[in-house]
Formats: sequence, structure tokens, C-alpha cells
Amino acid sequence: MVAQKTLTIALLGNPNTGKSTLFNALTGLHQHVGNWPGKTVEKAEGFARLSDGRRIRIVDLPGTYALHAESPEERIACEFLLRGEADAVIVVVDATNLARNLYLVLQALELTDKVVVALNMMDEVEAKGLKMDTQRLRELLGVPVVPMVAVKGEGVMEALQTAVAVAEGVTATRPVQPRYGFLVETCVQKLLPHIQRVVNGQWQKAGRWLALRVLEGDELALAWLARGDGDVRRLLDECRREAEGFGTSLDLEIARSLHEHAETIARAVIAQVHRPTRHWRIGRWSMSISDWTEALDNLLTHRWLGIPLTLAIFGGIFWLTAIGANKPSDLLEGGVSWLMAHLRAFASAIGMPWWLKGVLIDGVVLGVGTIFAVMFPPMLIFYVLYAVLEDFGLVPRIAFNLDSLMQKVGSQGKHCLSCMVSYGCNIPGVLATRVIEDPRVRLIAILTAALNPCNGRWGNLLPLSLLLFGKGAPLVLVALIAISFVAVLFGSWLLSRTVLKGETTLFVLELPPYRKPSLRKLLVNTIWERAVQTQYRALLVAAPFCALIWLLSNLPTDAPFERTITGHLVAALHLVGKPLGLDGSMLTACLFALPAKEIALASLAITYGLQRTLDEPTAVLDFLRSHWTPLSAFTFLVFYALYLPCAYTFVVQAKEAGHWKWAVFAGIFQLAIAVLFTFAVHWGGTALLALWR
Amino acid sequence: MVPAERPEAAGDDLRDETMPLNELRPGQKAILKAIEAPTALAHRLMALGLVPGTEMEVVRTAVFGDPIEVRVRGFRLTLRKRDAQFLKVAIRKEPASWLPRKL
Repeated sequence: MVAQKTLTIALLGNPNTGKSTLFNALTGLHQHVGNWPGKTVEKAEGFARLSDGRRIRIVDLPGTYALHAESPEERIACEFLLRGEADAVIVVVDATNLARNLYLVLQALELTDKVVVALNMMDEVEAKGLKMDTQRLRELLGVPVVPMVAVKGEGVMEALQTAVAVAEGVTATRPVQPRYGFLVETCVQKLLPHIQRVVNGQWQKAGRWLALRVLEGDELALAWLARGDGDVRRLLDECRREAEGFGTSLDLEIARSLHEHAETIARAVIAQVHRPTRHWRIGRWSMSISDWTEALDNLLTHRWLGIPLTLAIFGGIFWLTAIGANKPSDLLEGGVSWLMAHLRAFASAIGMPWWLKGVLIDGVVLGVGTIFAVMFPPMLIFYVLYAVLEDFGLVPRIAFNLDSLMQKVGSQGKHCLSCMVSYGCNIPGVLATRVIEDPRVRLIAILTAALNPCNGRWGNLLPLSLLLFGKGAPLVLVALIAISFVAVLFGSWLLSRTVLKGETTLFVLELPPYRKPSLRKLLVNTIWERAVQTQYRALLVAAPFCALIWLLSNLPTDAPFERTITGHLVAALHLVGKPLGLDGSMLTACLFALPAKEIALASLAITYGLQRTLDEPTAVLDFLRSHWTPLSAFTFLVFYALYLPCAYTFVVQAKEAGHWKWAVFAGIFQLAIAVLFTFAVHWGGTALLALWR
Repeated sequence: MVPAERPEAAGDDLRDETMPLNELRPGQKAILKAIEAPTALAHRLMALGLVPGTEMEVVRTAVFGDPIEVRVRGFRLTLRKRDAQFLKVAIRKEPASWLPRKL
């Protein structure tokens, strides 16, 4: 009977303990993993398969430091465990940080008997020269303890099998019951009868846990109970007064006792047996990992070197992306032309009607092919490079450094991360906002992410600046970077004072030691899951746009450019663009570049009537040079750098913000900011030029 | 000048007056004496192991001077100065020298 039911195993643990890595190893799903705390905000689910073929449901709960229901992530974890949905819980523990992690373990033991402790990062423990007595730990906790190195897959199946054995009752557990001081215990005894009455015997074990949460002043626990019994609140006040009489508070006493218990256990099972063994070497120098962390952090947070160093690292990444993507993009574009020639010939041979051939081959295949050719190579390179940085642990340091700046515009340090990622690609930029616990700030970051010009936009900004400004191009590019950063700051400031008003909440960020990136994760997770899948979905979104662009530019048939729908569109938008110093062709090209920002140049070629398909543009550069003034060119560049992200970014924004309305708002908001900045640049520039003359 | 004997209890060599954590210089160690923060913040900090009696060390400050990095119970976390000011700490006195100045 038990064998028929699908067992549910929950994963619980502090942030950044390798919980997501374990989840991925068990289920083969690809949760995003990185060396920064707080990625699993919602809980994730998947299925693992045992060696005997049984399927086990695995639920990855958000990382929490404690089991009170105060922050959203803690609430999700608590409610899930209280409902009793999990047949067993694996508490993932960072073994290098045992004492603090045991705090959560002890709290879990108060909530349920069916617990297995997975000691992750055992390799780092050994490298530190420590020895962990797992047998003793098992005795002290009363539940199974499994050593594990999740990134290498060591101990992963053992942890699952042990959890299944616990869930089925094959392995009995006798969890230790943490004891508190006299004061807390008397208060618990006072509350317990009332709580048992309210919960009506259904959470046998949880009664004590609930009593403790009530004593801590946990509002949610109180709300659960207050429905049935007003006595609880009265008793709580009584207990609090008693505690005040002793010159302390109940929440403090509970936390203190539990930490002391955790620390006692940690001290009993860990011993330093030899000096740290594992070193990182550079040339003749070799230092232990913690020394490395220290030295690197001193550099990165150095008053004068910190920011330039960070900028240099990111500058290097963007440079590598741009340089490295050149050749593959050319090759892919060659491939697309070859394919196009054959497809066109094939279509003529089978007598395909002209409109079908146009929409399908010159519209969708050419458009999607071109987007793939120019978008995929830089995306792949950037994703891999960024994943290395992320795994390494650089990301929290940047958030640390830039927090005070972002605080001034109503945001916080982790927002900067999203900005930096967005320079590579807006999509992971939006996803990177997941580290921000505060939902208000997270929304600000989601809504402003696309104001950072992504790699696709740089791919057009760069050649256009070089072409139109020659030697002045670096200056123009720096100005564009500055303008976009100011736009982000301004946007955040505006949002935090209007739509998303609120207090900036706690900023607690753990700085994990630097770690070596894992190759396996890079190959499977980054390349396959992130780069390939994102590109695939982006192309799916882009395909209908490409068909539409072809239709607009080629209907009515054989009409001169001005008489096509695109021609009419250009004429209409001309009036709209005038106050901004933009012409109709520029605006229409921006519209056409919505499926992917990379095709802006090809779109310009269409909207200036030079070609009818999204082919590789050739004549357009010469045309633009003679047609645009420096000011109109710069105005266009500013607008193009800011206006809107690619279509798939909207999908991701809607998903991450939780509602499609936010994506619509994001669009309007970004467009408004772009218009504002473009307007300022155009009229400011015009005025300056007039003065100069 | 010369103390009669070394203080025995762990707390006795602390200075009496407490100060906010954000006033410590990088490299300084102190003992947490009290958390005078709003409840939600206090609970969050307590869950991280910041309870009175815990030793804390300010490791460094960020580039612009805020937040600060704190080492506590063997791990490192960052706190904004605004939040850190709620944490009242007491610094250990300089170890009292019972040796004469010149040997």
C-alpha cells in the first residue's frame, strides 16, 4: 500500500548550501544554481527515480535561516511542512558552517520526526583540515546523517534512499528535542493545552513548535491560532510580562538556547586534525581558500581599486563576447544565405505561390535565421562567462559594494547585479532579480532591467557609432553607457517614489567563500538550459514578427516603397518622431527590431526603402552616413539604446513580476523614459548647436 | 596602575558602555550586548546567530563606506550601517598589562 503512493521528499536548508544543486542532481531538472544566496524563491518540484524504478516527488523549498513564518520564503517552507505534505525532509547543511546550519536542523526536528540531514560540501571540510564525526552527529541529533558533495554527485542517491527509508518507517528516527530555559519551558507548558485544543489534535508534534512561534511573537502563528482561541493572546501577554520581569524577552531566549544547543553539537563533532590542505596556486604562490577569499575581497572592496576592477572584469567579459562572437556569427550568416538560396530554388521548383514563399521563406526563415546567426554566438559566450563569475562568487561582492549607491534611488545592491547581467542580455538580467528578497525592490529591478542596453543593442550601437562619428566613437559609446545608467537610476528613483513606494527593508547578504566553477554545471546547465533554451523560446516569439515584417514591407504587391504598408507606417510615424528629432524610418525600424534588437540595421535598410527583407544589410551604412546629421544620429542611438527590450524579455518580465500587466507597464514605462531622454538630448543638442554657431 | 589580579569572568574585561556596531573600525572585535531593532529585523538577525554574547568582528566596509562586512560565528555577512546601529556592542579592553614597562 505504501509502495503504491508516490512519496514526497522536501529539501530544506539555509540559502547557498547546495540545495538547488542537490535538487538538480536528483531530478535532472535544471534549477538555476549559483554561488549566491537566495535563488529558490518559489518552491520547485521534480521527480527522482530510485534504483528500483520508483518515482519520488522532490520539492525544493526556498532557502531559509529559520522556520518562523516572517519572510515570504520562510512562510512557504513553514506552511508546506505544517501541512504534512512531505513524507520526509532532507535538511541540506553546509558542513563548513555547521553551527549556524544546525539551528535550522533543530527547528526542523521540532516540526517533524521524518528528517534526514545531508552534510554538503564535505570536500571543503576536509580541505580545511577538519574532521567531522558523522556517527556522533547522528547520535546527537537522533536522525540519519549523510555526508555529501552535491556538485560531484557524491552521496546524493544515499541521501535520497535514506530519506525514503525514513519516510517509509524502515529507518526509525528519535529526534532530539531541543530544551529551552526554565522561563521558556514554563511558558510553553502554559500555552500547550490551549494550542492542542485549537489545532484539535491534528498537528500532534507541531503543537510545541507552534507554542514556541507564538512566544516569539510570530504574527502568522498567532493568526492561525487566534481564530479558535482568544486565550492564546492573553496568555502570551502574561508570559511576555514574566520575561520582562527577568529583564529579557522570549524571542531572544528561544534563539539563544537554540544557538547554544547547535553550537554545542557542532563543537562535539568537529575537530581540527591537520592544517588546511587544499590550496589554489598562482605561479609560486599558494594560499588556502580562505586566505584567497580574504585577499581577493580586500582588492575588490578597496576604496580606489574596487570599482575600476569590477568594471574591468565586466568590460573584459563584454569585450570577449563581442570579439568571440564575430567569427561564428559570420559563419552562421553564411549558412543562412546558403540555406536561403536553396530554399528559394526549391520553392520555385515546386511552384509555391509567391505569398507563401514570401511569408515563409523570405519572412520567417530568413528573419529567424538572421536573428539566430547574430544573437546566438554572443549569447552563448556571455552566458558561459557570466556563469563562471557567478559560480566563482563574485556576484555578492558587487552587490555589497554598490548597495549604498542604489539605496539612494530607493533600491539596493542586488539590483546592480541585474543591471550588469542586463548589459549582456536582458533576459538573465530579469531573472537575476530573483536574489532580491524584497518584492518591492525586485519589481523595481524587473521594470528597469531593460533600460540597460543589451549585447544585441551594442551590436548595432558599436558599428553605427564607428561609422557616424569616426574617432569620436569611444566618446559616444561612453556617453551612451552613462545615459543608460542614469536612466536606470532615474527610473528606480521615480518608481520608488510613485508606484512602488515603501521602506527599504533589511539588506542581509552572506558573502560565501570563492569557489571553483563546476564544468559539469557549465555544460549542462548554462549552455543547454539557459543559452539554448532561451534562444529557442526567443526565436519562437520572433517568428510571427518576422512574417509580419515581410507582409508589411511587401504588400500591396509590386507597389513602390512609399505605397507599401511599411511606407505608410513610416509616413505616419514621421509626425510622431518629429518632436524627438527622429524620422519615421528610425521609429519604424525600432518597431521592427522588437523581436530581436540585433536586426535594427537590417530594419533600417527596410524602412529607408533600400531592401524588402531582413537580409544582411549592405547599402544602408553608406546611405545613413550621407543622410543623418551627427545630432540626429546621436538622438537615434539614445532612443535605440533605451526604448524597449526584445519581445521575449516582456514574456520573462511578465513571468517574473507575476502578472502580464506588469509587462505592459514595463513597456510603457521604458518607452516613456526613452522618450524623455531622447527629447532632452535632441532639444539640448539643438540649443547647444544654435549657441555654438 | 597595576591591577591586583586578572579579571576572571569572561564579561568582566568588557568596557561598561556599549556602542552601535557601525562605529567599530574594520578589524575591531566586540561582543554583542543588545539588539534594539524592530521585531522583524531582530528576528532575522537572531536566526543568523546574532544573539547577545556573540562575538562579532567588523571585517571591512564597502567601497562607498556602507554596508559593512561582519564576521560572526565563523561566517561573513553584510549589514547596512542603518541596520547595524541597532546592534549594541561592547569592545574588549586592551589586555591589562601587569608587567612593568621595562623588563
